[in-house]
Amino acid sequence: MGVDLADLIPRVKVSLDDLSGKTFAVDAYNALYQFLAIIRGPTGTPLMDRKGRVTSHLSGLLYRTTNLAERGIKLVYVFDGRPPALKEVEIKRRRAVKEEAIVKYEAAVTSGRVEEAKRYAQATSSLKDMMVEDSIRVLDLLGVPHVQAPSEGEAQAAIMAARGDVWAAVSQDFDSILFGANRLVRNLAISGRRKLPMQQAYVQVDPETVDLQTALRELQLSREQLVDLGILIGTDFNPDGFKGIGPKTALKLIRERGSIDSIAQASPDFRPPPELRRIREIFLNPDVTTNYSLRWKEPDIEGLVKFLCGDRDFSEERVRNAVTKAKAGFAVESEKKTLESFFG
Amino acid sequence: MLESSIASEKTKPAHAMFKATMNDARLFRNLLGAISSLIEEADFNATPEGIKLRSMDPSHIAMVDFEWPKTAFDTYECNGNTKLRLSVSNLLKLLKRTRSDESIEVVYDDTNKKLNITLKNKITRKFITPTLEPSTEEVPTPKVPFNARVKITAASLRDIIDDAQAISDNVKLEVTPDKFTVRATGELSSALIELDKGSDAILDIDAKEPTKATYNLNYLGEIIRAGSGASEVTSLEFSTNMPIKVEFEMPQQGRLLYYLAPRIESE
Repeated sequence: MGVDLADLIPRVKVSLDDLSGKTFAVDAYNALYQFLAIIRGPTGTPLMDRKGRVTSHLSGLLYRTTNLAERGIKLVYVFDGRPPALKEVEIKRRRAVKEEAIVKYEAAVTSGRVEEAKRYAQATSSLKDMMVEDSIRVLDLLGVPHVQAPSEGEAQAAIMAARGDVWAAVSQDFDSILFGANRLVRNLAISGRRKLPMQQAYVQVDPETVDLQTALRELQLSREQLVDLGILIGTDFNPDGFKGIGPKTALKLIRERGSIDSIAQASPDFRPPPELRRIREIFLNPDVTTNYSLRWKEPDIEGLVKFLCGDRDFSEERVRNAVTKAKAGFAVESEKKTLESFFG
Repeated sequence: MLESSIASEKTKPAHAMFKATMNDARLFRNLLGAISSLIEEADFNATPEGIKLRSMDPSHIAMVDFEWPKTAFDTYECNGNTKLRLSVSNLLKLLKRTRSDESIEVVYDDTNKKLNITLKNKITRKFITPTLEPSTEEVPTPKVPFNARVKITAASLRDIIDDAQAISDNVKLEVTPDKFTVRATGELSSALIELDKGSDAILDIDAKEPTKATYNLNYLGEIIRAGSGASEVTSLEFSTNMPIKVEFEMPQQGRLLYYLAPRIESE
């Protein structure tokens, strides 16, 4: 879900070429869920190998990573650790949505309503432990670094961006900015085409960057106030937000009053969540580690072929091509440096 | 209308405003064109001495450094320091049909944050365009040593770069005390262009030591095509595996120069 800041936060469209030569931290679960939801056959069944094991996530991971590498864009994947206890409500809500979708999916399939089946199928995606293990195995074989976050992957990716170890955090959610990422990149994919939900239509979606400092300046907020703004609208830790407060009202309130506490003081009807302080802490002082290393290794093509083609029924030709192209991309990337690196 | 509003501004110069005119509107457009090759939006700093701009392209590989002193204009008035951010591509769109027998007047008034452009010859055309919120990003000051310098006619340099770009994405430049060499190697073909110190295209070569570096041709091509539209003489300054400074001599005083990061070759 993530916090709904789309209407408030200034975003800048960029091209993939602008991002070439840079490194990005990707929230791995966010990406894998996307692959599971999007990479599906005509009736909405995910890609599977001959044993019926789902491979959509591996396909997405392999081709997204190698295609971007070919363009000189390096990804680091960050995996979620234990979710903060406060996220339970949101996690339960998601589980309920999924269970409902499974029931509806099966009903739609039985009665032959293909379009509907596909729609519900996308909402049934869930990440099994084995899928995560498989994904890590593919990353290791590709020589792409991955980081295990102590808690939220998004927070870990944000801190890596804030420390300058990567150029930006990659996510569809704006939470990265609340977690303190100096930069966020959304829609980072090769094909700019995205299917509109519930429709047989596609829109062109370009990558866009969100800059924390620019956002704070344009919204005229401090970082603490931005977090309060997020909490007013609703985050993963208080998913319902506040009744009757949408993004625009929330911004107005924070600008007028300065913080959730003073909004509460001014209007007795307004009850801040009891866990307000803890939610703020999650964003302002997240549970992250600085003990990680980002090293790329030579891809193990034969190992990938053995695993993906031998075991998971990928096309050998496509796998070999993808990795060979990515290798060239990594080589090019290392030669490209920004001007600042020369200005002592 | 426009004149009268300006006249009234003059009586109360409390807020920032500037007004500049140029008899050849096309010269104005060409200079904007030279900036637009790298930069979509840029902060222009207007001071009583002239207009300055320094900005990096989005990927921070290249920088444009540009200065228009007030003497480059036919008239120039500016009552303070004003920073205005403009969409260069939008401005160029407005000026697309500019002719060289037209004069141009540019007026900015801080009160409504709008830029008024008037083009005049037989008919008078007025354009009003908004300015954007200036960025607070600090553009670093380039501090790089240069060991080699080549002064070359802009037209020849453009030909050389066009040839190289037909073959490869990169170009290797080499300077020795008496020769300037350009190499491009593609998948199938390669190009070698050698210019001796005495050749017609070369105005001067100065090299402290043999120097070579490789640059991305997409960027270098854009820079050189853009600059050669505004200038006739180019000087290239660089050091081995260091950024290159490409400076275009301006017909009026002023400055148009670019920096481009090198590609480091793993040898």
